[in-house]
Amino acid sequence: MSTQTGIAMADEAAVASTLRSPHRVRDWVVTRVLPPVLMFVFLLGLLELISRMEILPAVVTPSPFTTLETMFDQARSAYMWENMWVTLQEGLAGFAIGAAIGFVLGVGIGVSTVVSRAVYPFVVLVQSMPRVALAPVFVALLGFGKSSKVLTAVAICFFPVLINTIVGLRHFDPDALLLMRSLRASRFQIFRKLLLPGAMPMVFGGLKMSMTFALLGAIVGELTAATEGIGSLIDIAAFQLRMDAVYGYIVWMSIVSLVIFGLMDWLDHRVVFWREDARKTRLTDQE
Amino acid sequence: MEGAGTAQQTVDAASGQYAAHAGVVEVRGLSKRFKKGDRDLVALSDVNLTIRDGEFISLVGPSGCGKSTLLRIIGGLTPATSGEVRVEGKVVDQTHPDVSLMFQAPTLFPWRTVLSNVLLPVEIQNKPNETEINRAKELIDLVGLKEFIDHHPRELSGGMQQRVALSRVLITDPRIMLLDEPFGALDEFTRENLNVELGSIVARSKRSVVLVTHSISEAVFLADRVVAMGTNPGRILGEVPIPFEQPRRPSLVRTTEFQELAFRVRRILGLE
Repeated sequence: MSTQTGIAMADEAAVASTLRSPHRVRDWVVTRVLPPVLMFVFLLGLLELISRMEILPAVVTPSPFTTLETMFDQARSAYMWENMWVTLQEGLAGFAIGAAIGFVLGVGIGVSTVVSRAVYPFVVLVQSMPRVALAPVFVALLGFGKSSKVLTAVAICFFPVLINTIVGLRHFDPDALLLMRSLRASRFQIFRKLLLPGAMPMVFGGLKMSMTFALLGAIVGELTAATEGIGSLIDIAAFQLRMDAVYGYIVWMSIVSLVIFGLMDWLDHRVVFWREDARKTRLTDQE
Repeated sequence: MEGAGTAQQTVDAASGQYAAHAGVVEVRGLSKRFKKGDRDLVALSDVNLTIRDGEFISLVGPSGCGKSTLLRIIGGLTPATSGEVRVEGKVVDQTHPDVSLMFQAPTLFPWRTVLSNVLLPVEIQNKPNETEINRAKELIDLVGLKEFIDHHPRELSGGMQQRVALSRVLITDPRIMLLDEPFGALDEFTRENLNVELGSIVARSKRSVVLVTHSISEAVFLADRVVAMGTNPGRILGEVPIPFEQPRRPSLVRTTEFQELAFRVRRILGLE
């Protein structure tokens, strides 16, 4: 039997290798790299055109090349990086706290009907609130320092983890539950060995979303009232009508966010390697 | 279990253990009703069945005849409405350590390797020791997946996944195996191969097996006794003993004796 299986696997390997084109790198450049690069060049040209034709007030449409120049200056100064670091600290602290709250509450609601009935209505209530509007309240409560920004980040980033944890825990294979029951697994074992790992793909999806929200929360907090952080730099630059600087800060912040998001994505693929979409890459279902 | 004779002797030897009961599984006057809206659905009506020690039974019948429900009641996963089931003389009111179930879907945990999936039943009871880990490795070898021991389910084909599930059923060394259409989702070729393997594994280990299947030829090929079931209400229509020696060879299917027995099952099911 094992020899048959061996042959089947060899076939699969052969199919896989023929699927790999000899011009793999070239194909990759043409199909993956070129389209977004062309789009980028096109958008840059469009912005330049809008700027030159003065369709919009000149103050909000600096030439994209002016902005790029400003961005280089910004990148060379420690000033921006120091402030960006402040924002990252606030965002990451908010993320850690918010994600922990979201996960714990999610597990509580996901596994216990009583907790679910007690807590869930309030969670929905909080979710439906425009929570960014709480930023001034947090500033009044905690002052102009970092803690009010952390709290703003917490307030808007806990929800994706919470809701995804609940959904993840409730979405399980009924046969797997039957199997666990037939093996006389305890409630805790069912949670620990089936429900929790099964929820991880959803939890990680929530974590990725939360990370973005947390940085957003930190910046909103800074825009409200702050003496440091990228949000306060944007606030100052906007006050001086230096829109090229505002755009520059926004783009730099986006790039840093993107890197963090990429790290989360990498972690996601490492931890949740069995994610559903990975299964679609299987070549054949025959033996 | 070289045939009915040996099975009978095993019963005699075992009868000292649970004197009043002849079989390792006894189903008496079993009924199961479901509430579906306002209607009362009779899934099983007055089912009586004795499974002798080391006997391989196939439950065959159309969808809705309650064969899977019967299997789940024997396995202690679903309560009966009336009547009783005894496993080794004890009334079944929950799942039993000597009973092991296998479903149509492999139901492997995708985050676990093949080895760790097979060890799951052990892990529920205690932390697996050296002996148990070695036993798991032997079982994986037995189903021909030695090279895949550290692979994850998504790297395996459907048939290979079901082999892992079979190893997982065997790890607890169950006296009674309840198989709910275990190869029903697989293609014809894989299914036949696995049936032959299952037959030889079970014959060697002298376990009692209840196999639920739609396929008459699968039922006849594997079982010492085929129990035919009908619908509305779900009930046992009759049974056909299959006297061929175990384990069986694939060529058996082409013999006239086999065809004759399959024909008798079809007649009981009202297909001829």
